[in-house]
Amino acid sequence: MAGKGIKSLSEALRGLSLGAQPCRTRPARKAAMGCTRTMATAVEGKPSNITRSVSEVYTPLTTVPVTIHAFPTLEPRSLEAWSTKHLYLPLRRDILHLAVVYEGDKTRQGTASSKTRWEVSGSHRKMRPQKGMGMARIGTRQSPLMRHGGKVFGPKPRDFSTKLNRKVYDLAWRTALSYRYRRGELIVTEDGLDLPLPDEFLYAASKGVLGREIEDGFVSRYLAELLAGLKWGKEHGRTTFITGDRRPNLFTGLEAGGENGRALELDDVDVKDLLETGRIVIERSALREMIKMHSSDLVQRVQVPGLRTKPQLGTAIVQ
Amino acid sequence: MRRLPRLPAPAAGLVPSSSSMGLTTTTTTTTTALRAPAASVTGTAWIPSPRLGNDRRHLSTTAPNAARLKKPTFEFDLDLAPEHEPETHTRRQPVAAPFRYPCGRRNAPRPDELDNDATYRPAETADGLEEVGGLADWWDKPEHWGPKGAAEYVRSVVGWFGPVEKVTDPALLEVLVKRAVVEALAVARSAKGRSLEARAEVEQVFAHTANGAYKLQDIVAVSIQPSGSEVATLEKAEAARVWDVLRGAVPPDGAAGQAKKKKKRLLQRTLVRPEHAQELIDSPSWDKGWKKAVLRNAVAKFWAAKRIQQLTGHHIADSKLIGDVTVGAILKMLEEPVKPPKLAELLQNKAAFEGLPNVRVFPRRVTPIDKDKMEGRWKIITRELKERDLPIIGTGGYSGAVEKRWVEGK
Repeated sequence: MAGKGIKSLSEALRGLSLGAQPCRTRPARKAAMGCTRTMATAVEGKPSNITRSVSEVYTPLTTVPVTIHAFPTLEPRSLEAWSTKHLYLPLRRDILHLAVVYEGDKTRQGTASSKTRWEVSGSHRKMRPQKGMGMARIGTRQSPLMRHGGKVFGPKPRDFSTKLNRKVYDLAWRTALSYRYRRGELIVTEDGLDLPLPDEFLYAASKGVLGREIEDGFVSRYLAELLAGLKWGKEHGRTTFITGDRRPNLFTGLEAGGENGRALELDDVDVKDLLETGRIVIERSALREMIKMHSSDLVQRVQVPGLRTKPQLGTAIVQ
Repeated sequence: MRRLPRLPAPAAGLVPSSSSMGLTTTTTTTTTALRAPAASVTGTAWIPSPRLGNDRRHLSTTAPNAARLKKPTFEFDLDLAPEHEPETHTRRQPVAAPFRYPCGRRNAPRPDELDNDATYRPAETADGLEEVGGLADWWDKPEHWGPKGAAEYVRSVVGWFGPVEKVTDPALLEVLVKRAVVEALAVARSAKGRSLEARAEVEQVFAHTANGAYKLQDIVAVSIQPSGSEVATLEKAEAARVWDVLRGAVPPDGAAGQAKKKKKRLLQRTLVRPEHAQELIDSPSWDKGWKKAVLRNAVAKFWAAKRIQQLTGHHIADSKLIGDVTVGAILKMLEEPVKPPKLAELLQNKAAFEGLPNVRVFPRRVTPIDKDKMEGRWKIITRELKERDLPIIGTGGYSGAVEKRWVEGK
């Protein structure tokens, strides 16, 4: 009986869906507009295909392409198909805001501390007699009314962290990645993302003929020129590199030349980092791991035989 | 100051190891790949031994084998050789490098190194010492990077995929994009179910025709909409023919191919001229409607984007290639939009206020200084301000009247 009820409910809901609506046209504006001037924001021409006929089969976009590049040549090496639920989510500024505030609250140190009158050191002797001195009555020198006395409602160490549902936070991660993807600011590289340094420099460094200052200066300038060539440098909004673990050349290079970008290990990345700087350069395995770790909202409790409970991580199209 | 960990002596710390070429397969376990030591994408990597820790700079560029521990082979300009003097105080022997590094410095002997020199008295002030400067701006000088400066040096080391300067000429872009699309369709048609070896062959063919000049006319003459179809595709026979034409660019191996190799190398240097591209477009055989063809196949789109990047230097983002994309839309992405004229230019060109003597058009806001200049007062104002030692523009750091704030109760 219950099964029949659910079936009829689902039928009713299907009737309400967009796909079941007959093809409707936009109502044409009858009244003549007072202003005939063309506005800069006006849309020219009639928008086409805002509705879909019932006879047309609804085939929504399910995957988007992700090209894996070589670094630093930026040569496309392979192609993967990723679910739209991973990398093509609509922009939700509210969710991103929630996530950034949540992270900010969580990272507050919260160590500000002041002393109450009971914690200020010193004798609790009455400062002067209650009467007879011609002055106001006072008690101890720890009184909040006194200079160097205690603080009444001062800060005490506390935890500022707020709560955010795990599924909302995970959605924020993928929304941030999707935002970057849509803008063409997510560059996925092959595994082993690192800064290749010239052989002759490494040879000279291995011989110890360059001082540390010269080495630092060389790497910093070399990286600056490399990023400038790719239009990824300071003039183009800096670049965030994300790798699975610490890569010596890349990380030390960007420590020396931080004005052009930053390098982060996967464990150190948060949503705010994904929204900062001009672009995100991430290695393939780090992206997979990041999305794998933040897919809690994609798991369905209802198990249907033959259907996947969550979208598959990127599948190779061109290897 | 932060100090970069330097490379230790090679024999002491570096262990050459080999890594897989190219990309690992998609089935690789992500967790293990994440923790794997940094591997070069282009060749062998030098990985520090575990006892050194993971924070030391190591070789990560193309390093063929352990022989790289010896002196690297590179073209070395003798004129740029560091001038090192045979001196006793230098700790290490200088090495040859295409860039110039400071190596003629000497350390002054310490007092304990002097053999009972009775006349020696340590200086107490810095008076009389020559100021020679530090090394902070050493790499800011272009001559220290070789004959062509830092940018050129980095370019020679890295080697970009595609031309350094992006192609901007519209006719050239159109011809090269058509070439890229035709080749991509041919590859996508023939590369179905191909192995990695077949993929390497495609890469080789594309590398040999990287400038797009090879048999250009033959390739762009191919129609990508046979029998007027909307979707861009190639006939099977046509795809095979295009592929055969392309394969002809790769010189055959062996001694017999040596003579041809030289010819091909010459051919590679020749670039497509914009005039030639314009001629091709203007010719009656050029298909005018090819831009309406829709690219639907993901593999074809990948190869097209890759080939466009190789031929024109334009990188196309993945998000621009989602769903059905017309070739014209791709071409539009690459073409730089025409800059709209400024209002002042527009009015000037139209001669809108020509008959009105009291109306003038300026390209920017008319400032008080402009008005003074028009009246001929500005020179006098400047001179008088200079005489009084007052700032010519701005307040010279003097703030406004403090009393005003008091009156306003702020």
